[in-house]
Amino acid sequence: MLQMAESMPTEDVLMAVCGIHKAFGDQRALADVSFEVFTGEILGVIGPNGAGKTTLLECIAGLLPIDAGEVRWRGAPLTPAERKQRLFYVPESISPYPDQRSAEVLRFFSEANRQPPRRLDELVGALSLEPALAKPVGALSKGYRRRLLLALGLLAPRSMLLMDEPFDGFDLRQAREVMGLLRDEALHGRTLVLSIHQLGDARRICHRLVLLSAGRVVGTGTEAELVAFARLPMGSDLEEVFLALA
Amino acid sequence: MRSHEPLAPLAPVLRKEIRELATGNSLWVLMLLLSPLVGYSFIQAVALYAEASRPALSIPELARQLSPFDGILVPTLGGFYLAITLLFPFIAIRLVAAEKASGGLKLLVQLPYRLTDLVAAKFVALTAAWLVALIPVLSALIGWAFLGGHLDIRETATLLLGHFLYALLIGAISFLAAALTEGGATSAILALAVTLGSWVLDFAALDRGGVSSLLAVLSLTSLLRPFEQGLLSIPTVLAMLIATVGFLALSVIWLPPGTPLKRKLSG
Repeated sequence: MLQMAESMPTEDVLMAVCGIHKAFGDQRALADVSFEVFTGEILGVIGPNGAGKTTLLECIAGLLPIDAGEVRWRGAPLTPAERKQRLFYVPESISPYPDQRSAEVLRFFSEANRQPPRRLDELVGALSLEPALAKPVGALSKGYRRRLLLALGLLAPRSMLLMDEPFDGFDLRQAREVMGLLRDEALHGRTLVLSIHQLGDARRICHRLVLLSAGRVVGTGTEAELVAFARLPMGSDLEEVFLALA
Repeated sequence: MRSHEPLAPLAPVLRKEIRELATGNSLWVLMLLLSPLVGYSFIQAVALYAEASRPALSIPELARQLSPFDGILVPTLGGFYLAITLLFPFIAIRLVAAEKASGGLKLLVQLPYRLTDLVAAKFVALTAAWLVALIPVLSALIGWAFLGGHLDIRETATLLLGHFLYALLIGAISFLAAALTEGGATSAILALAVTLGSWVLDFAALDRGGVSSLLAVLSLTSLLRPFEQGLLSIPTVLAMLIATVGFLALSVIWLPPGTPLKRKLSG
């Protein structure tokens, strides 16, 4: 988190998640989830498996209906039409258009988002996607598929990107490269909400964290704030916070 | 960063849908099955027509009662009808269900397209698939013309229009089936239940009158009948178009993930 100190975002609330409830039948997935996202920040949603991270992102993106609560954008309720203009969600384990070549899928998203070809070339270069371009999406390795999804998300010219496990399938070097790319995006005014299960990755890239456990928010803030909130001794790390709160 | 995105151009999504059709197997499997079916129907029709024509060589009055429309065109398109009824739903369902299954739909609905545009693009691609499927039929008709057979352009166009509208209706029903259900197999069961259910209605109407014959009006096959008699029935054309648009509209309502059931039911 200290690595990001020089690019800390403003305290201007861009999006507020207010009291979201979501259940699948009798099973509660999210209960009264509330937090705020500041303009230009990288917010990490962390929590154990099954905590509701993906459900939360899909509810915010409007891909799952919310049972109660709302998402507000600069203080006003975010309508379904506005969602398409404000944010874009990149799911984790999908393999869109498995029979089509990666280059064709990228070109489709680039053209649909009215992005100049230069932008696509930049992203292909930055994500080292060149070897994957001629292959069908279904034939890509997990790492390349993840990079392709990241590129599809970054091609969407939205103020906010929601990404589910953006570093899954990457080794340390690749994860750091992608983190650099995402930091650049944040520096250029994009706000990022990332669901991350690897606490080390979350520490490295996120300005603030939302800790989810069993569908509830059990802590929000910087690592230092979470340590204080969990009443742990100074110098405790995120893993200890996680074990204490989740 | 733009805060208000204009709608995306339609050409890329249309190209994507056509690529989906071309790269998948379903259209080519349909062609593999359809071509011999249409070819066999045509050869049988020509053989039967030739046999029926033989007495007409000596009795000219008989020749007047022989019609290539009834003797060649309608039977040749009978094989096409069978393939469209049983196999075309799979092509249509793939266009929707594959995207749902792969997760592509989650990305697609976030792009700056109206849902109507997305469904329309899929439907245009499906229409292109029908045109590809028509190639064996057109080949048979060209073969008939080469053999010296007569083709009345108006009657032929009417019959093809009927089959076109029938395929659109089958496609729209299949889209709705794919939008309503999770998984291509369930969608196929639902779509085939409707198309094959039409045959049941037809058979029921043959045996009994009353309610059965009233229900037979709902049969999709019965909608094709006027065209097979060379009649361009405007009410039938309108009924088929309205039904197609209705099923597509329902697909637009049911397709997007994230819409609460209550809102979907209220349209």
